This record gives sequence, structure tokens and C-alpha cells, in this order.
Amino acid sequence: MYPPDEQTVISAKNVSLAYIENEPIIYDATFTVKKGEFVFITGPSGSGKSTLLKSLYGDIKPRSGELAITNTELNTINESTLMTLRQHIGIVFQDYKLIKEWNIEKNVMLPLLIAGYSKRVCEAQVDKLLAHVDLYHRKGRFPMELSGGEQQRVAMARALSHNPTVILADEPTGNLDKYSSGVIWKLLEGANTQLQTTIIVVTHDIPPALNLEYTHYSIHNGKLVNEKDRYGKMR
Amino acid sequence: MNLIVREHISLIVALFTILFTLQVYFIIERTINIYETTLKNNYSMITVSNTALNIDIVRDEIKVIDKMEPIDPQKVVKRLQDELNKEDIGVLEDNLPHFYRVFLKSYPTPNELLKIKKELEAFNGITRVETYSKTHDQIFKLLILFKDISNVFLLAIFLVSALLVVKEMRIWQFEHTERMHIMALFGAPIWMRSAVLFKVAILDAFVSSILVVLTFITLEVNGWLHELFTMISIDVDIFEFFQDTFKLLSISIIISIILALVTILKNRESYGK
Repeated sequence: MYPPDEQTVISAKNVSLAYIENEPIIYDATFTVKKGEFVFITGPSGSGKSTLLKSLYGDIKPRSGELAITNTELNTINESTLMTLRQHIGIVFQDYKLIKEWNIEKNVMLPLLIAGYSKRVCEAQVDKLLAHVDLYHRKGRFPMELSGGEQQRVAMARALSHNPTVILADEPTGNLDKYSSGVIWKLLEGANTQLQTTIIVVTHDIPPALNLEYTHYSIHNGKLVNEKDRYGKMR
Repeated sequence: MNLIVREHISLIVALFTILFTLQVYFIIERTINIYETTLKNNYSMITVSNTALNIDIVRDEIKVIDKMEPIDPQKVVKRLQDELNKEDIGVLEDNLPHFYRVFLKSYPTPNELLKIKKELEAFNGITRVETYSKTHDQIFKLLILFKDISNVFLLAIFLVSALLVVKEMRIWQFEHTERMHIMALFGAPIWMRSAVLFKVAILDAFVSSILVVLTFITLEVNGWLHELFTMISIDVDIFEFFQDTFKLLSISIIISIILALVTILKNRESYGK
């Protein structure tokens, strides 16, 4: 559906993405994501899943088509507007992307500091989130002192800290063991069900134990396909 | 904690090296200036004239002359008293020319010296000008050698500093780009991403300046360097606290800010692809 309505968080119409001119990785992608929706994007390695996600946080501009997130056009966005837009997005990466020179508390605080909250509010929110991800006792530690699973929990706390409209997660459990993966899925599920946060996850495999409705897109040869259309099930 | 120390240490070491060599250059420059002033003060030429000269007129004509002092002829006469009889001394006193010692405003080059000599000789009554040019030329060449060495040293400092700054820029690109990129992913505006960088740059500039100041104050208090200079009869200030601290701090801050700005500008290019 284009143009987007108030309930639409992401809308894409005939979007093509490419790093090299005339060599699109994704072409003609058309989809919408509603507020509170949980979306999986799957596909084999190199299919363009992460590229699609990058386009959603403005790290790569569409070569053609129309792409908007929270009603902000990404095709013609300038750096200042892009920064403002990103303040409403939470991002989780496979490699965590924590600032190694900062301790855990400051890493989680980053989106709050950017949003301009007072130190007192930041500290209270960070304490709450670190307790939620069971890392309150390690808030003075640095990322390198934590395990992969713990680092990803910190990244999750950071993504949730400013109560974003949408969380974009790029293979969030790709580097984790089964237990840590389970914890991350629970956190994402909680954010979606309790806070109505829209969540888009790029992954190889959808976890079988997920207890919610979701939309599933897959990428085949650069085309984005809604699995519901293929199999007629799910949301 | 190690990461924080490592983040600062590379820039502090680079800045310390640059500032230390610069301060050594300042000391060399000061030494050469003092040496040149000493040479100028100690150097004079002798002028012989048949008539008494109007010193003010000579000084007006030849601007480089600082002062002219008449030499008392009795000093010459006294030295000859044992060898000559009274009559001869009387004749000598009657025919003795006027002697003048000429001091200059700066230590002249051999060409300048030749020019001054010619100008003096053109004055009515002046029969001879003794410049002691051979000794002067030797000392002048030594001075030029010192100045050339000092300039080569300055060039070396410039090259080493440029290399260190370029190296530091690469390190900063590596160290800070990731942090700035992560901050940008969460929407930090450019001033906020840069603030961290400027904070590191200014802090490191202060720390490195303080370390260099402390090093040279220690050398000054220790007296070892003073002893070396005293051996060559030069009294030089190894560290002029206010002047040198201001110079070192300014240079340090300028280098750090250039580093920060280059890193920010290069980082800016990564957005809006």
C-alpha cells in the first residue's frame, strides 16, 4: 500500500538496491510493515537480506523506487534528517557493534544521550534495562569482558532503551549458542508483545519456539516474496 | 581501562615527540641569537683619519654604525715611550692621526663589511679602515654553519612531524571511525560524534604539553644543560615558562584539532551513499 497511512511504519514500492550501477541485489521490492508487526526476512547467504535492512536505516539509498520509514522518505533524505529518523529506530547487529572504549552502562545509554535525556533519567532507564537483560551486575564492565551472548543482550538493551518505533535486527543470533539465542528471541518477542514495537528481523532460520504471529518475507534471486502468498498461512 | 589508555597514548607520544624536538629547536635558535649578539658586541673595526671626524655625520651617512669611539692616542704614545726619545715623541704626537673604534648594529656579512669599509674610506680625511676581515670571515662562516644546521634541523622536525601526524591520522581513522559510525547508526548528530574526538584531541594536547614543560623544567632545574652552555660562555634560557608553554600548547592544540577535523571530514563521507 502506497502512499503510507498512519499505521504504516515502513512502505516500499518497486525498490531496487545495488552497490554497483545496473547490478541490483534487490529489485522491485514492494511491501509495507504495520505498527506492531513482527517481520522475518529470510534467504540464503548473499541474497541481499542485510542490504535490504541497511536500506531501512539509511545506510544505503535505493537506486530506484520509493522507500519510506515512519513517513520519512529515504530516497532523498539528508544527513540531518537521517540522524533524526535513526533516533526512532533501534538496531541490533550480528557483530553487536558495541563501542569498545565505553562500559556497558554507557553503551546502553547511547540512544538516550543522543535523545538529550538528563543523566538521572538515563541512569534510571539503563538500570532498569540492564536488570531486564540480567546484566545489571556487569554494568561497569567493558564489552570485551563479556561473552558473545552477554554482548548481544547489551545490544538488545541499547536497542530498547529509547523505546523506538521499530527495531531492525540483522541476524541477531547468528553468532550465539542455543541458550543465548533463546534469550534474544524472548527479548524481541517481549518488546513486540508488551511495547507494541515493530520488529524486523533478518535471519537464516525462524526460531520454532516463537509464540507470536509474524509476517515472513523471503528473498529469491533478488525478489522479495511474501511467504503467505506462497503458502497461504501465517499472518 | 587499557583501551582508554591506548586511545590516548599514541597521540600523546606523537605530540610529545613533536613538541620536544620543537623546544630543542627553540633552544638552538636562542643560542645562535645569543652567539650572534655576542659576536656583534665583541666586533669592532678601527678607522684612521688625518682630521677629527664628526661622529654624528658619519653615523647619519652609514646607518649600520651603532657607535664610534675615539681612541686616546696617549695609549699608543705611552707604549713607545721606552723606545723613543722625548723629541721623537713630540714629533709623533704632532703627526699622530685620529683613531676611532667603530661598532656596528648587527654582525655583518663579508659583503656588508666590504661595503662599510668603502663607505668609510670615501669620507674626507679617513686614510685607513681595518676590518680584521680574515678573522671576521672565519667567525662568520661558523655562524652561518650553525644557522644552516639549525635550518636543516627545523626541516627535519617538519618532516618528522608531518610523518607522525599522517601516521596518527591513520590510527585515528582506524580507532575513531568505528565509534563514530556506531553513534551515527543511532542518530548522533555530527557535533555529538565530533565532540568525543575533540575532547580526546584537546585533552591529549594538554597532557603532551604538560609533559614537555615538565621535562624542560627538570632539565632547567637540574643544571646539566646550563653547565654545557656555560662551557661555551653562553647563558641561554632553556625554558622561558610563559612564552614557551604558550607556544607548545598552541602548536599541540592546532595539530590535534587538524587531526580531529580530518577524521570528522573523512567520516562524513561514509554517510548518504
